[in-house]
Amino acid sequence: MPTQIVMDRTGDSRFQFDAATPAEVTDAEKRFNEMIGKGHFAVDMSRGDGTGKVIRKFDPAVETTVFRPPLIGG
Amino acid sequence: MSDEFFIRQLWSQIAEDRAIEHQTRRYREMYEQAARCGASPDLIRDLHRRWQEAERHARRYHNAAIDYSALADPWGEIRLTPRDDIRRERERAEAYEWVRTTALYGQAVIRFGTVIGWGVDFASESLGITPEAEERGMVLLKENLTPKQLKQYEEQKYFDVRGGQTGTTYRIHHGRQQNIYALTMFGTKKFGLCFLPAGNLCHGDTMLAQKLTLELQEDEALRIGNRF
Repeated sequence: MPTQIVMDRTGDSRFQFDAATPAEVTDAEKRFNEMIGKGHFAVDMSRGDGTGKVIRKFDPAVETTVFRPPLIGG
Repeated sequence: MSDEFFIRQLWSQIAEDRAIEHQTRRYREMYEQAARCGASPDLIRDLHRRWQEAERHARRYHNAAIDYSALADPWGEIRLTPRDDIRRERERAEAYEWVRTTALYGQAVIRFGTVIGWGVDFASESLGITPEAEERGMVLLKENLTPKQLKQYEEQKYFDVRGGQTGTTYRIHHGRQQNIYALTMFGTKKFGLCFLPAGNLCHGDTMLAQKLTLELQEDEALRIGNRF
């Protein structure tokens, strides 16, 4: 089941959705766009080998999406 | 000439040289003191005459015991040397004091900044991040490291990532700030790079965000991050 993982102060928040259910896909897409709108950076980590790929557009087929908050200089 | 007689003569000569040297120095000091204090011209002239006679006598009969440098320019010696010495000494002392004060002040500023940094770090950690969050963050990090990075992190508490654009190797140490170093081809530190995700995230999330950024958006990391 595809999972969206958002880094936050609780460690992370995980949202799973069923790609076969249109309503859940719509919610997932809405969440994706909301995160991107807030400046998050979406990475496809589906391979499971520690390598990722940048996602610019929502794709329900992506198994694991990690959202990284915007960066600040330290 | 017996040895004993020779030694006695030598001792006598040395003692006389010492006495003359002492007398000459005394006259010279008296003359300098009188000139410095603005004594009457007659007294100054008299002392100068005595000093010069003592010098001449020493020069003629006791030349081994006397330093003649003072005869070269007695007026210049009196006029310039003591005051220049005092001035130079004072300037040296002032410069030393300035350097010492500046160094102490700099150290204090650095230490104050470090303490403030610790305070901010402690406050942010204790106020915002729970142990459970830390644990979840570490799980997320370990799930998304390559096997090599995971092994390296578990053994060394750091892992290396390759910059997506330049191919530079970066070493991410366990931490949240000032924990990234670009490495040279020999594995030594080239420069430090400091950037982190907004929102006061835990260690695991922060390190994962740093890894993903360097691998996939290195240019943004270099643009936003501060070098140290």
